Amino acid sequence: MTPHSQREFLDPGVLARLSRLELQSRWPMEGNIAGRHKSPHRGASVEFAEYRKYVPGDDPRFLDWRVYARRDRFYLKEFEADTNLRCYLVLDASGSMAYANKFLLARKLAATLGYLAMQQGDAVGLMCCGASMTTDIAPRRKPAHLKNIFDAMAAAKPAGETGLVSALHAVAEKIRRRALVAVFSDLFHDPEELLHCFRHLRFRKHDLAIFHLLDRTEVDFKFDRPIRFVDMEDQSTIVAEPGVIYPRYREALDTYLDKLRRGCTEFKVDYRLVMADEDYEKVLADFLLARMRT
Amino acid sequence: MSFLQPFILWALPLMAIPIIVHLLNRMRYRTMPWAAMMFLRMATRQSTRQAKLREWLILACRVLAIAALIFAIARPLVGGWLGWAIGAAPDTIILLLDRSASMDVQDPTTHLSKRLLAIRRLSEAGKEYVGSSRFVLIESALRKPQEVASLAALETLSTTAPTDSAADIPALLDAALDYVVANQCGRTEVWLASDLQQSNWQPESRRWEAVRTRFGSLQQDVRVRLLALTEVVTDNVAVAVRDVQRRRTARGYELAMTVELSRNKTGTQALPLAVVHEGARSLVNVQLEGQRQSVQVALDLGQRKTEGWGWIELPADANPRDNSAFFSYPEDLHLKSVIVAENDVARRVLRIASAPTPALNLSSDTVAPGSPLKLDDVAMLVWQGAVTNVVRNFAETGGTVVVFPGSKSEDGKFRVTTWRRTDGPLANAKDGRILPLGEVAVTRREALLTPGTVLASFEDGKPFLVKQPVGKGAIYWCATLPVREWSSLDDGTVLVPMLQRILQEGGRRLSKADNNEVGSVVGQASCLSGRQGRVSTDAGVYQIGTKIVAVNRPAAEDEPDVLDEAAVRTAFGPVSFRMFTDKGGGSAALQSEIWRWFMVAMLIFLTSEAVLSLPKRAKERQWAS
Repeated sequence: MTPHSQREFLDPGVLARLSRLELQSRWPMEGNIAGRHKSPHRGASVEFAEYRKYVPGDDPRFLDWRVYARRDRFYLKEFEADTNLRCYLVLDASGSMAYANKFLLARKLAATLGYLAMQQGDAVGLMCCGASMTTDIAPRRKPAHLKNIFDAMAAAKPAGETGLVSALHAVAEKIRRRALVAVFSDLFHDPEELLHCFRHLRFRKHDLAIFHLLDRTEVDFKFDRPIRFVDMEDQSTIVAEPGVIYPRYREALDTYLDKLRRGCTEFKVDYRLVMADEDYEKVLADFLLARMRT
Repeated sequence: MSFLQPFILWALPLMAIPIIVHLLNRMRYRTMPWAAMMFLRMATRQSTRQAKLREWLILACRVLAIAALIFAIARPLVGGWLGWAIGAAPDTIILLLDRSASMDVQDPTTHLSKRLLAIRRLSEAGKEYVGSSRFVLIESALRKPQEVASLAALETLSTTAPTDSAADIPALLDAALDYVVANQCGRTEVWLASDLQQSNWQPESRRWEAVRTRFGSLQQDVRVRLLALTEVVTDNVAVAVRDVQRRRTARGYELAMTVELSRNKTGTQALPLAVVHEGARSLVNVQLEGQRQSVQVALDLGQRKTEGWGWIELPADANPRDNSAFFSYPEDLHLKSVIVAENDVARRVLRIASAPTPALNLSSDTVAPGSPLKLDDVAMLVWQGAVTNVVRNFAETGGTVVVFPGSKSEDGKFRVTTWRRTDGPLANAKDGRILPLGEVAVTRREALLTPGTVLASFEDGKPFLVKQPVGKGAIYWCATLPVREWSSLDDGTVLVPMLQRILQEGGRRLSKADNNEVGSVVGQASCLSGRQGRVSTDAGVYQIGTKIVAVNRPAAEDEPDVLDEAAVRTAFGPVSFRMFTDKGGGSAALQSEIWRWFMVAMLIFLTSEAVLSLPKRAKERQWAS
């Protein structure tokens, strides 16, 4: 991690304050080592889970001899298993993310979240998807791995058309075990296709968190004179009078957001609409606290 | 279209300013990188057509507003006679000018007569075509085509000078058509200027049908443009002498004249009437009550037995042409009539009816049928039976003949129901009383087959009295005899005035004085009254040979009735025709500026532009809230 990139994404004060909170998954995770997250399997933690009848083949070490002494039957005493988490950060590096400070915000959110996950022993990976390049860094638990992730984030330049949909499908297929997939994007894509991706990820039992980044001007669309709008992804232009098309613009935007929200609710996706001018610390704090409450 | 300040039109390219500003704005659009293009595309896909249409409309409104402003400053003259001078130059332009007396009504503010105004309008409109079209003038008095070399000189031509004549518009159009056919003109425009006086246009005349047919049969493209000068001037009184009679009095002779005064306005008006006779001027004060009033004026002639003349004058008013009425009166003439009848009773009745009283200086002789006739000093010949050449020759020389039937034709009970009451031998009396012709019982009649003007007819449509003009005189044909077996004409109530009027008509040929209308007398004449003019076109008293003839404008010229546009359109029918009505003869009307309309148009365009812009902003506010 270069000092420059460190300074750009990470604020030590924010990290210090957010370190008090835990990043928890909403569903049991499948890790390979013990961790802070529930596992779908029984394990050797101190938290009692249940009694189960002995069947041939069970390890006799887990027999509860006290119960055998009282009831003359073999029962196994089982405990909850805690495991670690795979946190997969998906960063949209399409041209549209260069508008205002959306990409910087996305990197701050992703970097901070990655740092927090790494701090609590979870594995962190990164997928940066743009038009020309896709950076894919597999999840690792080593703290030194953060450097690779931050370097990749620093090197990413938003340009070209988005490859988010294909990247999300690839992530869904690639990660075999349950993981937390955090997406940082403006999601300027067909909502039907996006929801199809989300469903795919949820079908694979991933915990999906969407940070939908929009700039305030993209929502308000308040301009006072005709403007030649240049598409930041394919450089196509549209000359329009904002005052004239405003109602229809808002109608299209609202329809899109509504569809997206409904789909995310249906597929139990942790969806958050983040304005580019919002305090990212607050956004992350809300995100973490909400997870801790569930 | 003409403009008072045409150089302002050089500013018309300024109309391009909104377009240039629009293009510059397009070039100077702020370019902005934009991420949320998908919503922008959706929004513009729905509103592009509407927005573009509105944009074009706004641009058009701005351009038209500037154009309207420029046109308004250039002070356009549109909608008037000048406004007609648009389009390709025709081969020939025929100027038809109504020179009737009524066209000399002057505008009270500009003192321009309708005739003069029409000439100026025609000249101004024709300027556009000088050098490319041939101008031919046909005026209503003479109706002779005259090529016009210079439109500027149109006003000074003798053929455009005022006249006291009436205009015959169908004949005028006929003359124009004759010219077109005779000269094989190419594309022709007929510019007609008239005051639409009904008596001149005669819309009921069948000649209009012929005019329409002739226009339709032309191979050339001939269009008619009518400049209607229909301004009604209220401050005008016209005078006319309707009847002049020498009477015997106890002291000698007096001249009894019926002077008719007509005007447009109503109310009481005191009018001094000047009677000029043999250089002496006397005033008669008249109190006018209605729009038309007859005044009996008596002039003491003393012992004067010879013929004489004079005129009656009104104070100056809007139309100077109808302020004078000329008269001449005959010498103390002995009117003699000859009765040639087989029926003894009829002969006696007719003799008495021809000379009812010795006081009138009348005499009537009866001559047996077949006897030689000496008719040199006879004014009227009353004839029963078949007409001979002697009778016809008498009529040819100006005498009047009344022919009664000689044989029985048809028995029954017949009533005369219709007759001409305005003029002729059966006209109403001066005081308006109607001749009791309807009370005449006819039990026997003869069918009248002679061609001529039917002056009276029975209820079954068969004629009772027919006038047949023959040479300088006329033959009156009556269908029944004034005897008991035939009719009750013998009571004299109808027969006496009828024969007396015919006798007076026949007496003209013997008199040295006569009263006529302008247009009915032609030939060499010297003017006796003060105003110099031609007997064919100007009112006055003229010496023609040994005769004194007073010539006045036709009575119909004093008729105030004017055609409306619908009637004119009906008259022209399918003829390519365009009419411009000029109700104001003032200088303002000459210019007929319409810059105000352009200013109104500009305001409308600017308001439209604002309206086209406003609603969307309102919607935006609604969304924002």
